[in-house]
Amino acid sequence: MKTLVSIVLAGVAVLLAAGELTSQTSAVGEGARVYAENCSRCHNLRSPAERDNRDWVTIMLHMRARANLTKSEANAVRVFVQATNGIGDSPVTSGAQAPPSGDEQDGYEEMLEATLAFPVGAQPSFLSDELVASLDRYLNELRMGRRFVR
Amino acid sequence: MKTRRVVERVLGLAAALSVTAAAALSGQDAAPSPTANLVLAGYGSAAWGAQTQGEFRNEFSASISPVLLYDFGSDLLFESELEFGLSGELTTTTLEYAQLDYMGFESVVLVAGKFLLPFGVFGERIHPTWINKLPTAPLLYGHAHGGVAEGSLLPVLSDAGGMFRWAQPVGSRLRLDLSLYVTQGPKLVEGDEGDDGHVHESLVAVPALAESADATPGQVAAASSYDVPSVGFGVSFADNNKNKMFGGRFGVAIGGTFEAYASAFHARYDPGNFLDYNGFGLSVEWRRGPFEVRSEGVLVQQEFEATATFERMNQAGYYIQLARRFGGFEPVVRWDQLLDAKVQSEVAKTGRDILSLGVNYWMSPTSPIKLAYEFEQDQSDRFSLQWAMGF
Repeated sequence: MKTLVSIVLAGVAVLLAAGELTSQTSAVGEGARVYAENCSRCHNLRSPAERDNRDWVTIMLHMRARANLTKSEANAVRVFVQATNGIGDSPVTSGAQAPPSGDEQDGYEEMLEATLAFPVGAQPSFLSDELVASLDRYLNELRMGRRFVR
Repeated sequence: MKTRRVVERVLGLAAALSVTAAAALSGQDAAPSPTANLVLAGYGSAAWGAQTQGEFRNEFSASISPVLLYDFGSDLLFESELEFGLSGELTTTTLEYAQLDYMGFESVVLVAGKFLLPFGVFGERIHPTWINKLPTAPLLYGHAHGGVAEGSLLPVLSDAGGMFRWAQPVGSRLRLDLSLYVTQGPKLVEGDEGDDGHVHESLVAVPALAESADATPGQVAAASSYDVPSVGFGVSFADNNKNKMFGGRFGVAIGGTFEAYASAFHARYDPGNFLDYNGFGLSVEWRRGPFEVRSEGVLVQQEFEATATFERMNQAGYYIQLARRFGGFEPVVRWDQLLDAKVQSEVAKTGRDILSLGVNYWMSPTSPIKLAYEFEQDQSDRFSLQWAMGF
């Protein structure tokens, strides 16, 4: 009986953790989408690593007013930018939560291709080899259980 | 295939990142800290320009536009932009905007102070030198520093008052937005007002309306029997009449690829509150990957007092700009046209058209080196080189 209760409690804990994780992941994914779709209308995507996380709060308030974003959208971008800041350099992607398909995918490909095509030495830091290596390492550590979801 | 692999890898990493980010964020309140914070941002540029026909003239210029942002937590922001630039022998200073934003609502932002008017798109969003893809502004919008489009239709509009901004996503791809404002409005420019040698943008008389000595240099006036007074925005913060300017802009955007805006304002500019000054604008942008097409059209109407009657002068203009990035290089072409200003069917002022060819080299996502060559009928060709940086 104790074993059964333990299993049920563990299951509930896993489900709650998964729910929290999904919620946070969703915010990051939504932020990535809003970031890619709205910011690039006027200017190149800026690296989250340009500023510290507190400054991004202020800057997103400024950009909310300038770009006519809703509070939720501005918050999502802030969460995304803050989440991608400080991990290696800072990755910027689009459609992190729901990868686009069809024509959308082609459009994103071209955008990313253009982003990747900066001259050597001037490539946006968020797509550097060091970042990719850093994320690969981070992923491996997660898979090997050396990192845990708090 | 290489691109696809890169995309797959990036998207895969993004998914992984989402998980790791969620881990980092769990247990952490997503709401921003209420502690106040000051951020210095902005942009600057250095430029060299020359006219290449007739008497050779060339000059260097530079400008810096610091943007100060100060937030009081998540709902209140003060933001301002100053612009320092060289103009002849002087260093000029302009307050582009100084505004308080209240953001306590989900879809609405309330603004008070001096702000960039949401009329069209260029003036409010594209005019910073690191964003504008050419060293010069389109003829529709003059901008004194970091590239002057002499004889333009409107200055980059910035005025004091209040504004309501609303935005609403509809489904996953469509979004709508609306901005409404009331401001001091334009003012009749009389005598030598504004003629203090400071040629900063807020003192630039609206050239479409300038037949007098206040006319912006470069404007070619046709012989006309009409004496159309000059009108300026931000000539002073003291309103000259009881009338205010009302305006708004409605926008539709689809994903990251398409957006369209319709804008309008109405004001009266004379002390007697009789003479209308109206503007209508349409802006469209389409982008796909590294390719971007941007176009705007504006119609300005100004009433004025002629002999024993009131007349209305109309002038319209538009530009279309294409840009395509190839690696770090980005060729740009822009066609600007101001149509003749007309009173009834009589030409009050001849129009202008300029073809601008340019190529940008992006040293970083916020720092382009811009090389451009402009062709204008009956004027010397012009060459310009500008290095800009956003920070």
